[in-house]
Amino acid sequence: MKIIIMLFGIPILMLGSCKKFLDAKPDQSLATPSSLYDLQTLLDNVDMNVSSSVSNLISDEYYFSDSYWTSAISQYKNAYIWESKDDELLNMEWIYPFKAILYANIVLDNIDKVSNDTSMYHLDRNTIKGSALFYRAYAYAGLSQIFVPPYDSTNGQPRMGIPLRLTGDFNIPSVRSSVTELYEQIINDLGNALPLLPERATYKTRPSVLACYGLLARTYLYMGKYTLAEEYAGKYLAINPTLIRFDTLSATAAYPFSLFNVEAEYYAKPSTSLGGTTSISFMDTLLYRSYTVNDLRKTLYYTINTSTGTIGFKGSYWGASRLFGGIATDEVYLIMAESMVRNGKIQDATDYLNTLLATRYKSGTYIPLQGLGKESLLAIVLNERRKELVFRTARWSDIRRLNQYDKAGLKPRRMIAGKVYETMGNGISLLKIPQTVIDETGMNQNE
Amino acid sequence: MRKIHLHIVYIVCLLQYFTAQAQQKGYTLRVLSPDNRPIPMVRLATLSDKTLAVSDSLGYLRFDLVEGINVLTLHHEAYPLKVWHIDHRPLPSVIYLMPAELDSVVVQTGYQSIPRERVTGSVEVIDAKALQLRTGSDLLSRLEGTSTALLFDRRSMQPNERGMDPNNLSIRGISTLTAAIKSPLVVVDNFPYDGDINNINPNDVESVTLLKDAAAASIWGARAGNGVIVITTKKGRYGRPMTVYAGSTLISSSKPDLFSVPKMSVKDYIDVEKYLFDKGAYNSSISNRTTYPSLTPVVELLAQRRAGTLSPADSATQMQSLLAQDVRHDFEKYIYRPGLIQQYYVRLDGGGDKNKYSLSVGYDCNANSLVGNDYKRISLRSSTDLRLTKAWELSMNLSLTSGNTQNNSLGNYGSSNYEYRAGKPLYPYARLTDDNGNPVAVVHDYRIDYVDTAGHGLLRDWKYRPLQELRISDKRTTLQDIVLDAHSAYILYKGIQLQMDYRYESSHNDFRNYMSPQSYYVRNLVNLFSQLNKESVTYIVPNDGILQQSYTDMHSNRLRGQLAVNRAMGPGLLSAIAGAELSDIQTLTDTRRLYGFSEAYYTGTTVDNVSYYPQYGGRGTARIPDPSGVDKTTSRLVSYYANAAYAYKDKYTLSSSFRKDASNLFGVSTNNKWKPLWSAGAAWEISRESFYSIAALPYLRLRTSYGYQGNVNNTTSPLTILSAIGSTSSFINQPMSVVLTPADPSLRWESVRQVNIGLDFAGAQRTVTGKIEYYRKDSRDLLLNGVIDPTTGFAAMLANSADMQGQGWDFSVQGNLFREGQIHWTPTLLLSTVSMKVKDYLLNDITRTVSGFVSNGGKSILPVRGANPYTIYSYPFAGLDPATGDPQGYLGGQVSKNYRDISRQSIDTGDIVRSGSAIPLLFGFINNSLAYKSILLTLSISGRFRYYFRKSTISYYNLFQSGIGHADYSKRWQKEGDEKNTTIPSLLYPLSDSYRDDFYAGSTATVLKGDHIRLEYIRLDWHTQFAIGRDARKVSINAFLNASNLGILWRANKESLDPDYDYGNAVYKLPATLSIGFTIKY
Repeated sequence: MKIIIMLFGIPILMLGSCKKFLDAKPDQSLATPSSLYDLQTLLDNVDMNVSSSVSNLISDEYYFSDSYWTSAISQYKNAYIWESKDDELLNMEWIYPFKAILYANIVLDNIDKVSNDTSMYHLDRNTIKGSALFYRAYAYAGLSQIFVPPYDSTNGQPRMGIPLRLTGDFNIPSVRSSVTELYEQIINDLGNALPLLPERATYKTRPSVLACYGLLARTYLYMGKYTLAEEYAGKYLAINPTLIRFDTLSATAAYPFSLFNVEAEYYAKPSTSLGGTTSISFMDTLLYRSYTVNDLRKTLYYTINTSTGTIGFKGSYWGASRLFGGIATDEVYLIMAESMVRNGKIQDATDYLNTLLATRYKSGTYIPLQGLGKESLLAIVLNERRKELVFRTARWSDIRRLNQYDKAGLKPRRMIAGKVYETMGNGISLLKIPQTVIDETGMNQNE
Repeated sequence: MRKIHLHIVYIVCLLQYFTAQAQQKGYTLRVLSPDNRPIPMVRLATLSDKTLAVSDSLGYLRFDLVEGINVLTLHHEAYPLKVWHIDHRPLPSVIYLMPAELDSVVVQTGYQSIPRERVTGSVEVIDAKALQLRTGSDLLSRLEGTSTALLFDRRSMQPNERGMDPNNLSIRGISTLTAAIKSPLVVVDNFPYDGDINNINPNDVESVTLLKDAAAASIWGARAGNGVIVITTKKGRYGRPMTVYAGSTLISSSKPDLFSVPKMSVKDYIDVEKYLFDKGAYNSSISNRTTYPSLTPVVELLAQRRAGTLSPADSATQMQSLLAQDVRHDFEKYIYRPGLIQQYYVRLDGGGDKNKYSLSVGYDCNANSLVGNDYKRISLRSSTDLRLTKAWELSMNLSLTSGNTQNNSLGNYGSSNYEYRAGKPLYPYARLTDDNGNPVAVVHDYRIDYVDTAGHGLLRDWKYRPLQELRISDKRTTLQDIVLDAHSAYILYKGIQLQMDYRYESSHNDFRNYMSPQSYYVRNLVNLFSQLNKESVTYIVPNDGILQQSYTDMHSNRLRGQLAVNRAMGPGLLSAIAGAELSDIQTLTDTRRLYGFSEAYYTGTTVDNVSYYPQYGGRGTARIPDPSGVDKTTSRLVSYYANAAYAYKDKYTLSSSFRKDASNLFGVSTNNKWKPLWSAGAAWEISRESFYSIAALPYLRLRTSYGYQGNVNNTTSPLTILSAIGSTSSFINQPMSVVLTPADPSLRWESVRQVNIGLDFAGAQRTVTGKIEYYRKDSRDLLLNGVIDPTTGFAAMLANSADMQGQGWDFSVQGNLFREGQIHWTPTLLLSTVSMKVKDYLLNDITRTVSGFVSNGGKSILPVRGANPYTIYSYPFAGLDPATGDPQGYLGGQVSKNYRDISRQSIDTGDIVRSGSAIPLLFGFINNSLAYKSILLTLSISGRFRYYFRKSTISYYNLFQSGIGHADYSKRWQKEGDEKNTTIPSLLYPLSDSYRDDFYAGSTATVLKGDHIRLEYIRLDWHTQFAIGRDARKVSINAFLNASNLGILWRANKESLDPDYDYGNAVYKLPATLSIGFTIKY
């Protein structure tokens, strides 16, 4: 009998150590997130640096030729005239940010479980955690500008937000949050990220304290909370007030701005290449004419097609045809100036605006503004936003918030073959949530 | 007082235990063969191997019976061991000994051997003799026609491809929706075979057992979902003098006949080129002075004629000579040859009291019908068994295979290697040689005048001569495979045995491709990267050979410990096993390329694969190609299993099995959550009941089983899986990764629930035996990409989300007729039906447009609710428009020519026809053997029914864009009234898209019934036996002649297409094969 016991024992012993045996990786190029290095490689995925592309597509900074529009794929066509349909390409506007959110969530789910870094990269747990929080906030901030009505402190707009997905578990059903909850989430994530992040990042595709301040300033501005916007813009500029002197750049270059230049603090790219392609998107001629002769942006931002006379855009901070959707110091100057005007600090606002604009003009030609009233200074700041932040997704957000908070009544129009199309209602048109999302979750569709 | 004798006897790996008692006198039994001839020298013994009697010359056995002994054995060299149950009184006066295929068959499950009488599941045993009927180097294709339910899918194969990939084999249809895991599990001697199954020499195989249902296969647990093929190799026998077997076979196949399939005529082809030229279709290519895209000789002629550089007379002469050429002649002469396979084989086996052995050597040499493609295999197999003590047996098997494949042919007619420009097949009037048989250039990649002048003599020759390429090509694959098996069996206690098994397998596969400096690949690459500087040239790619080598190393270790019980328990016999096993398979692949390789000095140089270099002729910049890469995979499995069968009075058998697997693919925590796979079965031999009285069917047995088989997809994981994607697309040059699959703790393996009901029967004196079986399979939790809420970050995810159902009948009957007379006729009928239906999945059918389903044509698995996953979908065809010859379809119930919208309908609501299955739903074989004296004639006919295939047709878009012609061109609609005689649409130019062609190609007009009856082979055997030497040892010689692929006897399609090869549109017909061979046994 002894023998039998022993023999039953052998297989049991054999399997006793099977936990380790079965932990082997099935494919060496695959990894489960198990080290800080794994998490960092996930966050370094270029898709984490996502910004909205439809914000550019539906803004009024450019136009399509009639012939191009007629033959364009329906996604361009419909978005161009604010006819939001359930289109596959526009679905990417939902899918890409949520993919970044998933990656950030996977990092946050695992950040306290993974082992310490032993790689040559000297990775820091706090930085990675802070980065994941920032990426998540950035993706939500982008989504908030196209799928969600503008923030309204008086009316919480109960279920008009978007699902707040805070873990990587895809079994949790998606439910629309309120608009207030959405903004709270963005601000909380950024607040939690701030103490964890370095002041400046090793690479400008990675988050930093500066990027956090920039996004907080922008978010508060879009919420109409100007005191807080001013506070965070100020914090940003206290660390990094440096601007590019545009007269040091070459206007003949194909792309005058260099990648990772001193003004750009955080790089993001549109999720798809919709809109903003020089060959098909022609710049609004009124916008182009609004630059004075000595304004270097006229030559650094734009290129004129000599045969057709149309105007193309070349002023991306990527130094390439890819549009810039990140955070840069010039935007923070403008947030600072606008918030200060609205907060009644006219002189300080004027100073900030002058500092920025002086770098944009030919050396010695800029005449500083002075002695302007609140309304006229605000008008100038807003106009400068339009002229400075071209194809940076800011214009669409400005139309939304100015219509919402200032009752500005901006109504972008398109003219195709003599027919005029304009945005719906108060000029704030929301993109439709992809039909698959509605089908799978049963959430409310945007009107 | 009863005297109890305990005997433990080893009979075919089983242990029997019984008691014996007082004696009874005087029984007489006559032993006859199936043809009623007496068999002398049959030894009757008890299970303890005590001889009771030996039959005399008239086959009579006279013996005394011992009360209590209810099992006796009959031994004879020429017949398999017969186990005779004698509790069935009165004892018969005659007993038949059946040749191996008829009786006493042992079922090898890979874990145990069970006499077929005690199996409750659905199994099929194919013995060595049946495996020898077909010829060829690979084992799997010899299984065709030997069993029901086994379907060979050759639709993706060319007619000259003979080896069979297990993934193209299905047992009882498919059980999964993932193509990569639809292959049955192949087991060789107790363990799954990790190497290439073509390494096994068919001459070494003793038997093949197919495990079809859950009761039979579920012991293999998570890998048994598609059925199991158990291959058992030959072993020696105890107590038998050394026997030598030697044999050789020559198999020759005729040269492929390229003219057997109609093609677009050369004249039609040239006419189209002229037409297109006149329409200006080539103008942009002709005027492209940057990349000089290649043009066919006819277009060149026309261009020269238009430019005025060629006189009308010269042009006409040259055109005339092109018209007279057909490149298929050159292909038949230089690219093809008759195929020849040579096989040589020697084996010796034997054994003493305490040992047995078998040793074999085989050599196979295959010359494929494509010149330059050869395969050689040497296989060596040795098996030794030792009885160390009465209780302990040890065995050791070693098998070595060395294979050498040369793959130098540029491929079949139509292969992309002959294209004159990427995607544009060779023009039909090309020539491969000049009048003296020297290789000449064909147009390839660039224009002919460009390659003549480019680089002003500084570049290397830029011409492409297919026959020269074939001559200097040096592509070889060598394979070494070693399998080492160790087996130990120790009797612990009455009828309880401990078995330990270990296998080590190592296989090393080396691929070597030496591209000589003269090869086009090297010359082209050197030229493209040449940096010309007035008088001199700088080579970025070294102007020397390229050596590309890759290897795959596989090591597997498998260990099993098992306890086997075989003993009487109560009134019946219990046979049970319980055990545990683990396996570890590691695969390493590595690909390297060496530039500047000199074969003379065996040296190479390093090149800069990172920088971008300008390519010659303003072709932009590119990197030097670098296919290097490494990969490593590990697959581990730990399993527990148990299987028990209880046979009561040989009348009732109950069986049950249980298995639990865990693997490294699923992670430890998830492994614990899984339900084990189990099965249960029962069999009832009705004919043993006293009430049974059907005289015509003296043997009738009913079986039923129910249980689960699993199927693992080793590309999934319940954990979050990241995949490193390097830093090439990173803006900051940092390593990146992507989430391949998000964590899905609910992920599990697929399971197949199968119910099987079978009836085995035999007529009086076994003149007819057969069985009929019905099965029903429910495949659950099938992995399929399902649409999920994209808010989760994934729009679609592989999930256990689909269900499928399958059912069918397997029917087989063997006759054993006129065995008393001189002619002995053994007909066999095998018939199977199968049906499959996808039940459910998580896809949104609204978003699935019909075009993909139509163009797939049932070639690969595409699930649609309620349909067979291999369904051919077609656009309903409404005839040709009598005015224009446009094909017409239906959209929203109306006749329509809106081809684009027709193709974009949803699969669930669109006007779409399910033409039917692309694999046969009814198939079978009729094999007839007729023996007369020493001659045996065998004839095999196969039939495949209830399926469809799609014939190819003319696509004007492809014709205009790529020069892809089709014989249908000549049958096209050309004038009003033609629509009455043809369905082939009119020529339309210009075409900006292919919707019109795709519509017609996917319409009901191009679907044909696949049903056909094929004459598989005719075989003639001649057998003789004589004695030689002083000790008069018997020598038997068998010689045979086998003619196979003799053609299709009947087919439903009128276009003489072979639906089984290359989707019916192969470039030539299956060539006939003639084999001649002999075996000697001494």
